Amino acid sequence: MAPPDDATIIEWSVRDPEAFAVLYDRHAAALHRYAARRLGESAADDIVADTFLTAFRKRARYDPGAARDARPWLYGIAANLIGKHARSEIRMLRAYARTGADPVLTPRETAADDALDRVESAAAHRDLARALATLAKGDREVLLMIAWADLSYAEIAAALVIPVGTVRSRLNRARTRIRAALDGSNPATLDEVFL
Amino acid sequence: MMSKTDEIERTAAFRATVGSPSQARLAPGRERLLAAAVADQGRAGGARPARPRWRRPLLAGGLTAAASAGAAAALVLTNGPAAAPGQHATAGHSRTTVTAAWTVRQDVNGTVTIDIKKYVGPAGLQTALLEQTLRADGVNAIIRAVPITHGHTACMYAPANEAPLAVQQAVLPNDGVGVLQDDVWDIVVHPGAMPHGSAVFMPVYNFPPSKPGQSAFAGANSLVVLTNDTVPACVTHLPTPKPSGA
Repeated sequence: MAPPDDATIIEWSVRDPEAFAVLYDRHAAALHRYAARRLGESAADDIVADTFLTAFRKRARYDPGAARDARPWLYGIAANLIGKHARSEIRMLRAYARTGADPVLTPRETAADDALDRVESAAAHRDLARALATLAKGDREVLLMIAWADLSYAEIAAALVIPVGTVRSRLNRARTRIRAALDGSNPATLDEVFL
Repeated sequence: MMSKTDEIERTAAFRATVGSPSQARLAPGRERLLAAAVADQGRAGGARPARPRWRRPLLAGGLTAAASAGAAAALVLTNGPAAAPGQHATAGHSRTTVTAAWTVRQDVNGTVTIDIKKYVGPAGLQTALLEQTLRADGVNAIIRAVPITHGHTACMYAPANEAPLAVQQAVLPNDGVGVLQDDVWDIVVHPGAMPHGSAVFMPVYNFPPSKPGQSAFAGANSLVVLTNDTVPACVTHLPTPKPSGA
C-alpha cells in the first residue's frame, strides 16, 4: 500500500497532532539544506523549526484540494522566514564575492569545496555570489527555488502566492542578470540598492 | 554566451557542498514540533466529554508550600514601570511577576503576556502561582498539567465549553498559540475582551529529560477561552468529531 500523501497526513494531524511529525521526517532535511545554502546551518536550524511550527499552527487551514504535496506550502512559509534575513544573506554573498571565503559554508563544506578541482569555477562562483546579491528579493527567491529546491513554476507560484506568469518574469530577470554577471558584463551597478 | 539553462545549472552548483543535515541536527526542531503537538492535543477540539464539576485548586496550600520550599520559585511582584532587582526593566509595563518558571507582564493597556520558560517547575506549585497571578491581572485562568507517561501524553484535554471563535480571536491573538522564542513560549491574552464568567484554559506540559545531559522541555503554547470555569476533562480518546456541515 502506498504511504499516505502529505495532504492526508495534514488532515490526520488535525485530529492527531503528533501525526504532523511525519511531515517533518519527510521534508525537514531538504528544507534545512535549502535554508543552510542560503543562510548557513545555524540559521537553518531555526528556520526549519519555525517553518514546521508555523505550518503546524496553520494545518487546519491547509487546502488538500490545492496540493497533495506539502512542499510548496512549506517552502512558502520558509521563504517568509528567510526573507527576514535578507540583509544578512546579501552581506554574506558580498563577503564571499569580495574575499573568496564563503561564510555560509562550514569548515567541512569549505574543505569539500576546495577539494573540487575548480579554479575556474571558484572565480565564477564569486561572480555569481555578487550577482545574486544584486537581485531583487523576489527574483532571488524564485531563482533559488528553481535551482536549489527543485520546485516547478506552478509550485513556486503556490509557495509565494503569485501568478505563474510572475514566476516566469522574475526568473527571466534573474537569469538575465546572472548571465550578464557570468559573461563579464557586470550588471551589479545596483549593489547598494538592496542593502 | 551560455544558454539559459546554464544560469540555473551554475546556480545549482553554487554551495552544492552543503550537505543534508544529520538527524542530531534536526532532532531539536522535531522535539519542538512534538511538544507543540502534545500541547495541542491538550486542547483538541470537537470533543464533547462529560463535564466534571470544577474543583477549586488548593491555591493557599500550594502557595504556602512554595513559599516554604523557596527554591523553585523566586517570586517578584512589582507595581509601576520600575523593575525590581534582577528583573528586566521594560517601559510601559504596569505590573510584572517573575518566577523561575514563567513571567507574567500586564501592560498599561491591560494586555497580559505570559512567558512560559523552559522548565515549569515542581508539579502544582508553579501552575498554582501562575493561575493566581493571572487572576490578579484580570485573567480568569485555569491551568492544568498535561500528564506525560513514557514521553507521551497520558490523556488530552477536550473542552466541551469552548467559547465561540470570535471570542477566541478577541481574547487570544494568534489563535491562542504561543510564539516560541529562545525556548520561551510567549503568549498574549486580552482580558478586556473576555465575556463575563468566561475563563482561559491553559494546558501545560513538562517532558522529563529523555537521556542523560538533556534538559527538561516544558511549555504551554495553546490556550482556549471557555464560556465558564468548568475544567475540561482529560480524556484518553477523543470522540469522533461531527461531520462538517452537520
